[in-house]
Amino acid sequence: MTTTYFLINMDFKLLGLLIVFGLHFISCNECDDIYGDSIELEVSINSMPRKDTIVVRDTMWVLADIDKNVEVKNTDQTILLEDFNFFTEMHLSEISTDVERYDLSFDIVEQIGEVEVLNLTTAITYPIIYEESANAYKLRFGIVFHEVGLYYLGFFSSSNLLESYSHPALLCNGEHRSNVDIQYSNSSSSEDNYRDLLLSTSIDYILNSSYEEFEIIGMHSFVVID
Amino acid sequence: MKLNSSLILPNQISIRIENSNDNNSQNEEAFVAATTNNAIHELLDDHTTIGNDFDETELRVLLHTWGGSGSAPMLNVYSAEVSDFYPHFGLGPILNILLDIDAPVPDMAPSDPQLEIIWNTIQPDMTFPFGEGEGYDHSDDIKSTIYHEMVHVIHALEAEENWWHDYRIYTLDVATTEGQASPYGNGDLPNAGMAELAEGIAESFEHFFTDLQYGLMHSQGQPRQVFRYANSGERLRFWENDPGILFIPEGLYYDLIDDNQFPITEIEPVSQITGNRVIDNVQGFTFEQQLNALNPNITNVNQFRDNLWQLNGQMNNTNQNDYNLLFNQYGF
Repeated sequence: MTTTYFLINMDFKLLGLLIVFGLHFISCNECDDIYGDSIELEVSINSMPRKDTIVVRDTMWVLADIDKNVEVKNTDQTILLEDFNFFTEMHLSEISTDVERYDLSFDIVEQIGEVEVLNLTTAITYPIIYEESANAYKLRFGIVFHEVGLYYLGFFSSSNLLESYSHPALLCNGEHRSNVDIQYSNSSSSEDNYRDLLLSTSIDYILNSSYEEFEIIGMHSFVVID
Repeated sequence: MKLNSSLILPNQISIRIENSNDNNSQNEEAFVAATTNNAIHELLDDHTTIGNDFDETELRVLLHTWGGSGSAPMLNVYSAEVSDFYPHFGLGPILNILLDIDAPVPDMAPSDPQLEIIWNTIQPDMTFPFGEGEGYDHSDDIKSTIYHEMVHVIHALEAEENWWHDYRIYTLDVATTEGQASPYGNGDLPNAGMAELAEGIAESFEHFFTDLQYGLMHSQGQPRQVFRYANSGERLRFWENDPGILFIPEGLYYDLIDDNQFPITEIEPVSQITGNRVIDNVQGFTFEQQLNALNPNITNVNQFRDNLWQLNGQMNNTNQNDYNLLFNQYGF
């Protein structure tokens, strides 16, 4: 049974006694470092070639060389991240119909760093392990496609993992910051690519999502042909 | 988009008040109250038959702006006297712990009459914090917490009054006489098994029910398929009440019900913080089955494992070795 409720018709009787105190909440963790209680980082991962179309058995390369002084978004600051786990995962799905497919046929060729496979309930993702050098986190792997299709590639980090991650850079006064977010830029990501390729899908939630939502995960959409 | 009296919003859609600088306004209060009310109805009316004989009008909900987390102290349904707890601690600290409010209750002196009002008049069964900095801007954020607390309410009804009172005492012991990390401790006290049951099952089913309600229409960002609550539930393993202390199996109850679309390796993921994975060949133990197995005599996960199997193991056509292996990987 599906019930639809309307805000103007809410039934307070069933709540019994509902009292809202009009006191103002004061945060307990008064983070006073230069980054503040909420921090957004931006790192770059590029998918190459920067093309809309590749051929079966071609390789799409994924490359990163992330300086350890990572840019803090909307500030002129950087933050030093030594021995850091970005919890980066790659998203890759096939979207040529109205069903988003994750059971794909491709090979991964690792050259620098590692790529794992994570089977979730309704999706598959690919956690990434960078190779850490003195000054940077590096990554280079190829995706060799075995089947035609319209693909959607992107990168993300789970805020839930980051916000409970006790790395010194993510703590303020010894406590976790209330918001930690990592956004990804990709030189192959563009509004044209979003409009011309990603929006050619029939998948509702993609059609109803803005370019800005995909830009921050470094979305690159491309077609694989025979 | 600001809330106004002519606005009609179906609750399956993630709703947000854009005026995010005004989270203590009457608009925000109405939004949180309505969303809370809807979540309670959705859980009881749509998602489970358990609790059908419960008189919902008994339930008292306190929405506050004192920070902290949601809670289900059940102070009206299972009424309690201060003398049942540790009266020498004072009402303020007792309420801080039972209601999981950032201590001390802001703006209240130990003798503040509002403390007596909360205890004797409001008697909240369930609480929920909102306001600036709480991170509950979207309806799915709010509902996932309300579903969590409602699982506690339903568990409390199944386990009955004495069980829930002992659990309230356990959380007080943890924070006071035992000096462990509040609210659930580090797992070495005799009644720590109650936390393994209560918090674990609430965490699992908060994800399950929120995904039933929202599916892809959540507010958790892109890739939206990946960030479905079902997939976040799949990543659960242990609740870290104290950093590095892993004893509350928050993913176990989800693994008992979930049916993976991609059972390629039967290896399920968990938090990358622990780096561990779970072999899960078990599915189909429903919320009703799991809650029915939580009778007043069940105070730890081993007892729950045996009772759930006795009640439903054969019916679910599950291999008992697979079933025991799943529990074993969570340490039971």
